[in-house]
Amino acid sequence: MAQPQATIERAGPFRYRIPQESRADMRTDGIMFLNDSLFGQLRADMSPTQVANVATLPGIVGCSLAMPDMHWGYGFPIGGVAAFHATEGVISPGGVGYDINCGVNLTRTAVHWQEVQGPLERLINTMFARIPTGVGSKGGLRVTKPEFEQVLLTGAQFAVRRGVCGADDPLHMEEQGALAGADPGEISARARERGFEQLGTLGAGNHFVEVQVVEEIHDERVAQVFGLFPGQVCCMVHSGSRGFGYQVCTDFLPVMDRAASKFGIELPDRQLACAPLTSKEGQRYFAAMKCAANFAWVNRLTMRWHWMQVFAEIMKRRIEDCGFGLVYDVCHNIAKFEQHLVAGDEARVCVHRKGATRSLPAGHPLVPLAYRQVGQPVLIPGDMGRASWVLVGEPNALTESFGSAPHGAGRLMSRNAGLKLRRSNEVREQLAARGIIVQARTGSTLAEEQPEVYKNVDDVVAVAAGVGLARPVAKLRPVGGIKG
Amino acid sequence: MIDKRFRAVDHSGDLAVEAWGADELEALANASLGLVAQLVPLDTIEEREQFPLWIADEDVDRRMIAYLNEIIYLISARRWLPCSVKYMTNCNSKDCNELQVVLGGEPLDPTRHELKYDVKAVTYHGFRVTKETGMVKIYFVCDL
Repeated sequence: MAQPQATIERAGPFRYRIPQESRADMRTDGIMFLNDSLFGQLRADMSPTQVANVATLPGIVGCSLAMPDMHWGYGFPIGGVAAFHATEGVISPGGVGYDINCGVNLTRTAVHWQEVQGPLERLINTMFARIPTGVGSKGGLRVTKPEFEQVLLTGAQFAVRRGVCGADDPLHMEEQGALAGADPGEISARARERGFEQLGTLGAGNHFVEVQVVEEIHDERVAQVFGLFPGQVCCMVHSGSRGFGYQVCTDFLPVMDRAASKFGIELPDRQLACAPLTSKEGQRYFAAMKCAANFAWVNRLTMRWHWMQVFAEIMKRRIEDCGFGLVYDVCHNIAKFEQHLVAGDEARVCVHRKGATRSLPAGHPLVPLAYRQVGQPVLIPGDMGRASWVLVGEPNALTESFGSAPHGAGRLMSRNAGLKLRRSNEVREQLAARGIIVQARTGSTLAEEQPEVYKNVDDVVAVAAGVGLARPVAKLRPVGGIKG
Repeated sequence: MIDKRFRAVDHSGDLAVEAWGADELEALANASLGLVAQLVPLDTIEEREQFPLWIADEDVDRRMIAYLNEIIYLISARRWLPCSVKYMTNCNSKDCNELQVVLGGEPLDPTRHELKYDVKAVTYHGFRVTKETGMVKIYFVCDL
């Protein structure tokens, strides 16, 4: 269905508005947090129309929002955030994405970059050999069928029991690495079949396991609380729920499409298929989505565990002598009930974040105790060649974005455009010339994912900081990584 | 018989495919082959086995998308590669809304087949069936 173009107006620094009155079907305004440069980069991108489309959904509270890394998605734009009234609102798989709980975890070490420079190539090659990557990869964590059910039900707690993370690691994860209310009874045989062997595997596309070095500290006090120091070696894992989550979304889109018709919800885009939060259909999807979220946490923790084994081995140290610590683990694709201020009153709303990171300020009860005095770590991965960032949640996020911040650099060019720009071998060589060693399973991945196909993550971070969604703490530069 | 059965279309983030046929069913059969062809060259797949499918849904577009997603499932979970559509029919009556298909193909052989992409799904977004110069065209977008 062709969508009417939404009217866009500048609404102050870092802010573009799509007024509700610009389209008859919008229930609220759309707000996009952008600077002029990022706005200009949207060009023919249809994501502003998608922001407007989200504003048509029943029970939306506040505005339909887009983070500075926004770009075209399915249903919601990537970078889209919207909150829905607990009893009058809807839940939409298109507001979560196919890769349910795609996200990032960051592990710090006590090791300085100088110590890793020598064995770096061996480290990356061994990571590549040990962590299953690429299309159809499997076998990162072998589980029995009863154990698989426990993964879906208990998320990070299963990882603790299996010994792939420490007992206190879940304390440093969003939702402590498990969403309550997951119901494996809502999971199809197909989703189980697609995901059963994929625990602890990276997958393909933009997912990565990357060795990074803390290059700049922007906030000494907060960096200290997060355990970060200049020159420190860290590891970032970016992955999600793999085929399991994709199939959960695939299974439920027709269910939600029928539900939308049943409840008389008119959709500007069928990918926004949704059901009332209080409906049986909505609750079934929510319970299945939670299973996929729990799967994703175990998936990321398992790859992190593999990386820790490899790192200790290559550095010839015992695990306990490496100073490993989980800085944090964040979801980028999720729907959750949270308490937020709506029109000045506390309300329980269902926040959809699709390509956005939760961002909570100091003192918020959901921030881990270890960080509560400073705020929640906000992890923003960049591209293979530039930087990733650690930020900290700011109070403005609660008033501006339902406690949300950007989740990455944001795609600028298509995969095909990347292929035309440079071949994978050239990308590998150019990165190597800058001291960045990359390995990828699929021939075209490096070309399709080269830094130039992404926006500059520094611009995204600058806007997030400008709006006050999150404050920069540390800039991390990549020194090597593996991709699918 | 048509010259061009399908083609990949450049897309901002992912993968879009257009497929043509003399009628809707032929276009859908070609769409499924076009989808497979984006992942692995069709001429590397041998027709050693047949695989029957039944897709029931009262909504025609949903049924077609479900069929294309069944192809994704076959490749991703069953590790089985289709290379031909041997039979395809729509049972459209008051009591029956079923697409019945028999695919030809073979199990994925890692020594001969390397999948180019990990396709998450065929999306509803932008899915359309149109008529152009006497042909039926199906356009769909995959999330990678």
